[in-house]
Amino acid sequence: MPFIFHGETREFFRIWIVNTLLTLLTLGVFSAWAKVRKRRYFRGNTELFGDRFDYTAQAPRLLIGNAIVVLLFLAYALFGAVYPVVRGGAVLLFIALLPWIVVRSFSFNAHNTMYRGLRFRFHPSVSASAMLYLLKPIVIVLTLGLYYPAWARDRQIFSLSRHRLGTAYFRLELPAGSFYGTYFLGGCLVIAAAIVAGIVSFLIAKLNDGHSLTQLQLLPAILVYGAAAYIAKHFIFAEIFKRVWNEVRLDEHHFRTRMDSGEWVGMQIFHLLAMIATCGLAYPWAAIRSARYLADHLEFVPAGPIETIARVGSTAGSAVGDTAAEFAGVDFGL
Amino acid sequence: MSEPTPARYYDGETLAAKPVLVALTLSSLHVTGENLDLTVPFADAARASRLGRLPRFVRMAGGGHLALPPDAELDARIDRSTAPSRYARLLHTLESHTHAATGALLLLVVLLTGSIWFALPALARRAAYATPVELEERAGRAAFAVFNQQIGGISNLPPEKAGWAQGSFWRMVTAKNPHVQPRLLLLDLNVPNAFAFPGGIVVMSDSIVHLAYNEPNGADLLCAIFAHELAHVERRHGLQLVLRHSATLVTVATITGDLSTLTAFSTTLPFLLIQRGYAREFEREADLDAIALLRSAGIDPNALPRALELLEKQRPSSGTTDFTYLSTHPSTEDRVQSLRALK
Repeated sequence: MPFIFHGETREFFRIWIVNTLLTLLTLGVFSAWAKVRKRRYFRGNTELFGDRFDYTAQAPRLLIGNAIVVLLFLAYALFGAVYPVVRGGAVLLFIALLPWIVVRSFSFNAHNTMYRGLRFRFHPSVSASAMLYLLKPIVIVLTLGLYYPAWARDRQIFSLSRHRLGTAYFRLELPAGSFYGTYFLGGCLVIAAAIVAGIVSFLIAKLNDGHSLTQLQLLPAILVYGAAAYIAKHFIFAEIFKRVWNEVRLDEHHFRTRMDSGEWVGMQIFHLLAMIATCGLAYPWAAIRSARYLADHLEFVPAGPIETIARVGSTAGSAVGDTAAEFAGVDFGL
Repeated sequence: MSEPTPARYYDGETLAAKPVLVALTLSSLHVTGENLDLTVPFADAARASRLGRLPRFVRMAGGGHLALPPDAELDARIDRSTAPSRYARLLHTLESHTHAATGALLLLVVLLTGSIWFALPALARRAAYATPVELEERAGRAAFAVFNQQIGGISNLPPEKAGWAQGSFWRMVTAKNPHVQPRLLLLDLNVPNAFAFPGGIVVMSDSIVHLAYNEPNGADLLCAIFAHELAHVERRHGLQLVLRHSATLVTVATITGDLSTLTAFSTTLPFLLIQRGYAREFEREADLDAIALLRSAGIDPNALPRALELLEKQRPSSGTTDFTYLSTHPSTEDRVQSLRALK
């Protein structure tokens, strides 16, 4: 049973531009409402079995989270410039809070996502989160990054396996070495680009009478490297998406994806060029196209009737975690 | 009672979905379907505000949910009977009209450029000038400590050259009479470089002193560089830059709505360009101030372009990674030309 995405570029552009303007006019206060409307738009336009998803978060809860995060950031940037202790303290505090922030953010978003009148739910475990976000990064450093693909796999399992919809549990099992091939290819691409960038810079330096390079002359190297990093990022996203969604189970039901990494990467390059050419105004178009592609290439394969899935009691997550988690680049793309 | 509209009903207990017919009376929703006949007063039905042409979800007291199809007439009837907030209605109206969107787009472009080029810099300038000197000095010392830890090297200039440099520095300080008590720190850096920290710490590399020492009227060259750095100090450029950067970062983050986008290539690029633009603006300001200061101290203002050319010639030839001086400055050639044109 395929997912269907009904979002439209023109409609979303109007919503996005009006909300962005209001955000600027209200000095950022409206951003909480803008974010809720954006998420509602994407979830509400995603259909499965003829029924739409819904996002029910209350903007004022996000607003509190936004305010706290902005204050923390300003304290870090401004007070930190005067009192280095504040800067170090803010970073340490943030790292110490990260496991809690991630868990709260998953809980908040899961709780506020509904399908057919039932809420999703994230089973919070701060200790598991601390293991994942505090201890394992140390292993990554100690192994000079070799552990990173294993950590990426653990993160997927952590975020997906702790979700449930009503009484039905999401389950994800992946062999330990799952993402090594993907990250190896991505890594090769970036390293190759670095070598090319190095050679290009060297040649320019030769033409430059042996003087060191100005920033302008470094531009070709930066562009080559940036483009490779961008391609690698989206290639890795697509490969992980495929691996994960072909393995995820919801009780006995499962999912299937026919995503093509090459197609996805090509599309994202096109989006980036369009964004640059339009100074960012192509964003709604790119967002809608990406969402449509993902929905078009994802299927739900029921093993039997899903109507037996029922409601369980639930608790709401916290919106502080929601905003703060985005700060660290953690968000889930369900 | 209105014409019944087909809708979907979820009981909130299981994942079952039921096709139903919904009719509106003046005060309630009437839901009928297989084994189902509900009358729910509007007061017990929470509806999300309208958004695009999304189905309208209605959460009813008792746990049931309705997904009403997007239907203008039905929406209007619901809105009439339940009087949604004026803001929600206005927002939806704006979001639904192409003209409103076009207007919003134009206004947004004007506001964004206005705030990035005028409002934020003006605010940062006010805040920087309002910052107590004690805080400014603290910030400068903190930044210098980090710098010194990473790059600093103890000066090994012979005392007569060091004294000669300090002499030029104090000549300029006396002429400038800045709001803080500046001091010159000579350091052994691997490139000819000079810069100012907030609160008056000016750093100069040994190599600049050596270079200038061997030039005719070398003291004037040092004076020109110090005049430029003292202009940065007096105009609180360091503080302004920190304030502007933080403010732009917060603005970009709020506008794009997702803080995570800050790490994305497409948002870091414009951010870096804005930063570079700010830095260049400060360099031009400092150049102009320096010329004025040199004049008032009775030094040939030509010393500044000469000093720049000297540094440019001495740019290290091998692929060094230290671009701090040159990267944030407008190209030396441009500066030299515009400075010569000033006379």
